[in-house]
Amino acid sequence: MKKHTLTNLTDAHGWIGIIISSLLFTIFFAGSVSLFRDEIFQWSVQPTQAVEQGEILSVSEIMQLAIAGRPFNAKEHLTIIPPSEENPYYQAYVDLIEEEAGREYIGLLMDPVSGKVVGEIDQFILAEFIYHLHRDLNIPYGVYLLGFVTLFFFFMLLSGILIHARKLIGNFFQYRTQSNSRSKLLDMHNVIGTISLPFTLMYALSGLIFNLVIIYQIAFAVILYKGDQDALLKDAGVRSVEVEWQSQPYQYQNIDQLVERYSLEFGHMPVVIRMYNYGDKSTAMHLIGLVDGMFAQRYEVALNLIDDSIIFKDDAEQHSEVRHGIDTLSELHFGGFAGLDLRFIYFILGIAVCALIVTGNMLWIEKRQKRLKASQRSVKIVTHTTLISTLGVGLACCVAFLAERLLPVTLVNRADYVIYAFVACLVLSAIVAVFVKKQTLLVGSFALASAVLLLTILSDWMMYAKNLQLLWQAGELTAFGTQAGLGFVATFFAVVAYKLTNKKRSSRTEINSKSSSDNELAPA
Amino acid sequence: MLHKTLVAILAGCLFSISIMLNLNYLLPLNIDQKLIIGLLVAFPMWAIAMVMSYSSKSAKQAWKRCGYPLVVSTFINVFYFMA
Repeated sequence: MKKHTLTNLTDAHGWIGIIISSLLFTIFFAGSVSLFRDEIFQWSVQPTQAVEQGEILSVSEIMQLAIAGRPFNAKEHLTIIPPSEENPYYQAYVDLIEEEAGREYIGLLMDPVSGKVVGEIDQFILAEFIYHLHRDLNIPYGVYLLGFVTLFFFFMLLSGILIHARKLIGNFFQYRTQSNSRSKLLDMHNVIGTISLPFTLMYALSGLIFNLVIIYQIAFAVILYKGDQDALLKDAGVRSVEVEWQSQPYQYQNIDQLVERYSLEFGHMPVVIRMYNYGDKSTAMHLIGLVDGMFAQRYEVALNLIDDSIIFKDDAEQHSEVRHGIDTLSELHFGGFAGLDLRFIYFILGIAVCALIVTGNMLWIEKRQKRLKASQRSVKIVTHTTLISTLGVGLACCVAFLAERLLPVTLVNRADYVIYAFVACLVLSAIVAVFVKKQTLLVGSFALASAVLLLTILSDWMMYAKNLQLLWQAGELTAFGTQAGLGFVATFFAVVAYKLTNKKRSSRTEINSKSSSDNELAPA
Repeated sequence: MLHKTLVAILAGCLFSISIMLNLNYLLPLNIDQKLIIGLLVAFPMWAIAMVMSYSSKSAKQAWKRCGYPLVVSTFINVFYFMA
């Protein structure tokens, strides 16, 4: 490759890296945490509830309980998500008559044994909030914004390979501990980048398909399908159930048998059960689940309950490759195809990419600092932004965990307060970062994050000790696993803060001793 | 850099759409298989176009580098569209 081509690529790699680094860090950090979103959700909910043990209620019973006393809009949907290993509660999404209820739907979390409404799903926002931070930053059109960030990330990966190509094999594990700090940073950046390459390429491609597929969807609908979007969606495997309302009240008794039949046929209980025109003679049922023993193969069956006739059925034999392809990418993206151990590996790789981003920024800052003509203001801005987007986001997540635990379950608009806590902490970090020295900020942030996480665990036990004991006796260990994870992260942060404090002290002593020896040598 | 970014995004997007359409015309597969293959190929094409653009000396060279393959691919699109 020509020298000027490499120089141009290196320049673009550096500048684009700096521009997207804050958002990219947020994507990877929130994504890594949200690999455990089911566990975080369980940790949010379970300790706040007394454990009920006994036989699990059937889907049809839960449907009845979910709509009881609510202005249910039967012409819309009633969606049930049965309990699973990941979530021990029934989840019911009930579409409401908007004029009466003042909102479109309500999401209920229901005890599978008693059928009691534990709370609204949106009340326990933390896990979903962190996941949306990864997916769309919780802002309108955030999906597209992050889609373009991912596109530039893809470019960064390809340009990184080209820049590093000649040394990709030879310097694969090179890490020069004895050399200066720039070489160390560069080695760290290269080693992490090389090791995580298959993982990051997969993430970039799948992320792009999830977030920016709309571009190709529009192009195809206009050019190939002559504006017929429905035909395109049908080919892409997007199915919808359309049944005509008959205004004849009718309660079907065969719902549980049908759920059972398809659970046996495909080897898995449906993940989603959606009812259309529930309570009317025209009721239809849509089941979505996973086919046992197959990778990312889902089944979808839609039925008319009046005669069990099939509206459509997708399974291993008959399915759209687009749907299957996207499901496969989704499994790869979220590490859902194996157990907890794989998600730990994904987590480590995700955090490693966060380190890749930070080292990249540090390299850029060092390079700019050495250039005499370079604007020192730009260096300050990048340093400040890097600190806020890394330490600030991390600390804000820890504070959101604490808020999720401390806020009373019955508090109105509880979810909003968790989000306010996150945003307030982020803004406060940005303000504090202006006035405090970089080293002090680093030590303070790690120490504070550690203290907040320890306080979260302590609050768990102080507020819900009895329920936690019952959970332990019932063998429900997810909440304890999450606590252990939080404890581990808190310890890690404390160790980092301690090491940084020691480093700060030793560098200060070094400067003092150097200045005193200079004074001794100075002529009188 | 800003001009190169414009080329990278615009030409890259058009190039990838064009390639995806050509694959759709050329591959002897079912429509759903062509759609997913197109998606998997399109984004890397876009990223490659970005690399071509950013590695150029100037925006003009970037337009040339991305423009030629785009024109060729678009001609094939038009040919199949008319046929």
